[in-house]
Amino acid sequence: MNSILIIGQLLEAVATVEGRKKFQKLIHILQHFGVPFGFRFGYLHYGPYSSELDSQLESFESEGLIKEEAVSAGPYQSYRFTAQESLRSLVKKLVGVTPLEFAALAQELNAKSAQELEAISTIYYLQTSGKQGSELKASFCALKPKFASVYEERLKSARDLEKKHSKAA
Amino acid sequence: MSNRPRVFRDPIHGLIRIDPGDEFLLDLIDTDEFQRLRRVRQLGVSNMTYPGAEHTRFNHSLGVLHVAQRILEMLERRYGRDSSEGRLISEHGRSVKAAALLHDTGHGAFSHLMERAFPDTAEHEHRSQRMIVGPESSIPQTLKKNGLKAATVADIVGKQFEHRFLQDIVSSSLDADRMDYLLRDAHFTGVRYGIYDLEWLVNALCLGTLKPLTEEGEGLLRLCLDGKRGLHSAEQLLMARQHMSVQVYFHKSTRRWEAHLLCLFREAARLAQEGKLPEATLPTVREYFLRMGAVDDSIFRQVDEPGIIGSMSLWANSSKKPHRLLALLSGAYLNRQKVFKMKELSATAANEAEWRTKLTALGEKLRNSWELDYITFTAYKMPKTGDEPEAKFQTIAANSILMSEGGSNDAAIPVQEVSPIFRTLGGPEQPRFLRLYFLPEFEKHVIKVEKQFIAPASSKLK
Repeated sequence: MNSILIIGQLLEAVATVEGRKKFQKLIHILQHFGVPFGFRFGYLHYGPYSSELDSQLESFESEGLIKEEAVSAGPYQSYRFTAQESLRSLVKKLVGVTPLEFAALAQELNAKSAQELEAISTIYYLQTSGKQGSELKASFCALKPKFASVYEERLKSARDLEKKHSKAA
Repeated sequence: MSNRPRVFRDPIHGLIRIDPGDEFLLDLIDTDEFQRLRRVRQLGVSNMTYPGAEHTRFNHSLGVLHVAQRILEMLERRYGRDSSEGRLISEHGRSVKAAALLHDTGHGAFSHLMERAFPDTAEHEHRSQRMIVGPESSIPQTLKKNGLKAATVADIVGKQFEHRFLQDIVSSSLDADRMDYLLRDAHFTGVRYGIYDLEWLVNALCLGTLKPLTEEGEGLLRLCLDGKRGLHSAEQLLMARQHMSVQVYFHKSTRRWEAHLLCLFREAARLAQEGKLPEATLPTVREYFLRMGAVDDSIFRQVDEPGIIGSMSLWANSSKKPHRLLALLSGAYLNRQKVFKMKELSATAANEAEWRTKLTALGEKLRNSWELDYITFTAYKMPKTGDEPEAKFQTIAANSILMSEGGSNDAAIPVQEVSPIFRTLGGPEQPRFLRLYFLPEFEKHVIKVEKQFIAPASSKLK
């Protein structure tokens, strides 16, 4: 299946995603669990980031498949993503009513804040680079000093999610 | 060793120098992991379209080292050894050089093509990091012997290094990797699109501080263009990238050969999983296809292009019935017999989704007779003006070429703020292609699928 259909299923499962950063982290984590979006992620200031995903969201919006509307978020503007009717019809036509694999995980993640997801997806990213134990902690705290005090808590969340939602679990 | 620098002759840079004191680079070049890059071509199957494109990741990596060395030298001269920037360069310069040299050690045979065949292999940066730190690799020992930390080198390659401007030299929109591959690919393909003024560009680099758009976080010291001195050569680099992408990297004939090999590799994987690959296939190649590229690092190191091409020679000669497609595709590739037809389709995400779904529904048996190739390309990614600050900053930090007034405390600004060329090439109107490649015997299915569309997309067979 291609990425737009899976994103359509994702938006069907969670209704809306608030914030571009949150969208990036949500998809990174879902991909980590095996949802085949197929995006390549690199590491950046706010954690795992895919410029491919960024470009694709832009082109999906220009094709009228998704809607990105400005919402007020304190002093700043955030962006709310929803599926347009054209995407819902496309998903219905091509996938039917099959729900997203990991829909429950997507909903659980979407209920968390963007910052929480940033920390969790960074932990998964560093683990995939081969970092474990004290090396993982040192690397995480060097890259994300603002989250150093909640490292153990976020690590526990990351592990709990894996226990609860991994295919092998 | 005498104090005479060791040099490599290179068609792009003339002489690539290894200075006395940097002998560790020779040790790294001599590792099995680096020598393997002699057997991985830089441009996969582009040699089918451009016969000269036989250059490898090995000579590209030496070129990246050369450009990285020149950038480090220039920054050290500019800021002085006693400045805080100079001290960081002194402290980490050898790690940056090692990272520049080793950044592609995680590339599999046929480079990005194999990543398209087996998405689990689409992580060459992670693989490169593991090659640098992994217990089965000889690289970490070589680094350690020379007083370098493997983890630091791996962090630079994996974009997880705390001193961002040093990482930028190896991995950014203005990095030594891009500066080398555009010139090298243009030279070996024989096209003139990839040309830009490397000498001027390197000498117009400096540092600047990119400030986050929210109050959270400190500014990042980044590699920048110096004022407007380097703007025109950076614009040339961007144009080079745009033209090389359309004319070389996404050339429809090259992509036809990629489609050919994608079908061949998937067929080899299918047969390996059914235990039906020809018996004399190399065990490492068999294992690689059996696991669709997701092999451990010890197997990965042993799989190179000669091994796979050698297997194709064997496969081409099999007359057994289960090997019909494998033999056909192998023989046709080895002898450059064009067997795939092409149909251009309307390049939208929705159309791609519809074609892919309908073609996939035809079943696994036919899966290796077609390849749907959707290409969206942006030479330069500009952030949207209205993004929430963190997301906008992320896009600027990830993709922008930056400019400053030359002092490391001066603000780094995205170059698109002063360049209409960057604004245009970073705008929404970008090249897109949707091409369907298929074997002649599959054409009847293509015709049937097209009839299922209410309004068939305008298209033509080639």
